[in-house]
Amino acid sequence: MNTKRHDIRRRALQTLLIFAAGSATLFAQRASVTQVIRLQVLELNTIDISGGPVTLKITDFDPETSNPSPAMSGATRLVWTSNGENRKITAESDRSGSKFDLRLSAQDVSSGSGVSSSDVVFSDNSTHDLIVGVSRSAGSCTLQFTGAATLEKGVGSETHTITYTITGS
Amino acid sequence: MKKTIITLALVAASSLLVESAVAQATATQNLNLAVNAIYKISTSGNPGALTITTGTPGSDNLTSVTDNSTTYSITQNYANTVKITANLDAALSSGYSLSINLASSKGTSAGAVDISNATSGSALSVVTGINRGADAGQMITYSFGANASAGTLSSTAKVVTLTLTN
Repeated sequence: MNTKRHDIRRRALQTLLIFAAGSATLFAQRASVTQVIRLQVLELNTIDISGGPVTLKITDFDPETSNPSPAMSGATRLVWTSNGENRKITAESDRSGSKFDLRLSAQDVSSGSGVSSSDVVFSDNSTHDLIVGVSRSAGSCTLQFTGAATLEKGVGSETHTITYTITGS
Repeated sequence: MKKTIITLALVAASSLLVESAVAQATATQNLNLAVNAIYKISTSGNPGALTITTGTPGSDNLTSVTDNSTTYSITQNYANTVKITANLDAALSSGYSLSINLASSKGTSAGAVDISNATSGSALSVVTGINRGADAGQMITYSFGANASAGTLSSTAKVVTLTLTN
């Protein structure tokens, strides 16, 4: 009698062990681990020009004014990217004085990437706003230079180095 | 007399044999062996900060940065179809992206997987078909990207969860 009871207990225990093993199989089917990552984007402003040096040659006269006809440059592209807020692009010549009139216009500014300011006249080496309202954007525009002279200025040549800068407004 | 002595000796020897036979006994034990399903995964630590510092003029996509300084290790005996999923604690804001690439020698890596919008309810598979066994020291590569139009991002901690599951 005792032996039979012992067998029953043993079988019950075996059943429990098998069930426990099965339960472990059912519920222990995943494991996780975590990593902490630090993400950061610094403010950055980049700017570049496509196209080589610009040469303006005044070779004709305007028959109506008798003044030399202005010379216009070919298309040069200015491209930029800024993830800052309310930035602007300025232009500055390295010449403190200019014999001839040099004018710069930013044309076809890509949508949403800033607004062209008024034409820049490089009469000295002061800094001029070229494009304003640059915020979180990548943009481009065409740079159009115009060189002009009057008869009184005579002949000659001069070189300007123009520096473009993205800066705070 | 001599015959009597021999007879007594034989009787005594027989008694010894009988006693010896009666002394044998056996016992049995039942051993119940089980190996539970085992899933283990760990990493070597946290990656370094991912900081974007530059971009290409005229492009909204800033130059992405990567980190492959950490590794993961796994052990599992469940099946040859186990996988690893990855998810963030919360989705990234629009304009930022984070991808993860887990190398694997026991399974098939999904390559760089964009987990920018993968949360606990939408974890993405990064390694599949993992065979039983162990795979130690496999490289984890993170890549962080951003658009200029998304603006700057101050240092932000994100929690990536890697889950070994069937």
